[in-house]
Amino acid sequence: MIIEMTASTVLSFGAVPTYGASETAQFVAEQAEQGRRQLHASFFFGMDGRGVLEELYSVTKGCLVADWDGYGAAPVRAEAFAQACRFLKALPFGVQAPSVGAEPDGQLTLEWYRSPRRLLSVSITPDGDLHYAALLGPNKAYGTEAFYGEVPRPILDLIHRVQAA
Amino acid sequence: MTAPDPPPAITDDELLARFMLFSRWIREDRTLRPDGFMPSPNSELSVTRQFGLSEVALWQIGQAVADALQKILYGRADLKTADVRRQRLQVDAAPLSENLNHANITGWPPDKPSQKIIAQELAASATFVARE
Repeated sequence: MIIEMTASTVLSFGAVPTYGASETAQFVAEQAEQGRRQLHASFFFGMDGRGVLEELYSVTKGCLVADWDGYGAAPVRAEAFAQACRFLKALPFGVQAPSVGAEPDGQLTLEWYRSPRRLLSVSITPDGDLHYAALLGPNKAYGTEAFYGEVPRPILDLIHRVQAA
Repeated sequence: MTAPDPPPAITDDELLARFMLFSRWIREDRTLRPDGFMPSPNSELSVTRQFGLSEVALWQIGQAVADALQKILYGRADLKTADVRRQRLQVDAAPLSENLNHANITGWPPDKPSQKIIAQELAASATFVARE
């Protein structure tokens, strides 16, 4: 059986949920997941192809030891790296790639940036808490959301607001 | 270096320098990422008062800081004390034997999101000066 998966199909539906237990349903689910992975790895739709995961790895590697900044910074822990990977992979297609950083408390940061007064920064803790702050012209938004495998709606909305012209 | 000792009281119009020791703190458009303005685990942000210092002397201090920390000095962020105080932070003179102009930005709120939004404001108000 050959099922053609086009980009628009996958973009419209994302990964097909495995509601059915039949062989066909399983096959479709596998194909959709494969297509999603390929798209995720592509330059236009995913994060991997844009080097974000490599950047995440590089930043983490440089911050694994205590006092990496010379001012007493806490090391970035493997759990924070793993949470950041999961967060990146949970981002929907079409989202602009963030840049990666690290903070003195050992948290990794992802930044969506348009200008110094239009940006969003999300700090990811080893426990999966997402501390975010955004400047949107004269407005500010900041808070904490838990990460349970899906990008929390308030953060997704802020990403879109930063990306919007 | 024969700069006069800086007075302990820091006025609103004093310029502060935050030395940029990581390339990722500086964006391609030469603006600054807030990561470089987050407080250390002891809730301080280390800066140098520019009071009485020539450009040469200021860069010498920056280079000494970078050397001591075994980092590369990419440049500095110039911050007005008034912009720091606008965020309800304090600037405390904290002279060191190797840097009499050293100061700490203190008074950070304890919660992370509040710290982040302040760091974003400081980064937005700072001016990057590249190391020549």
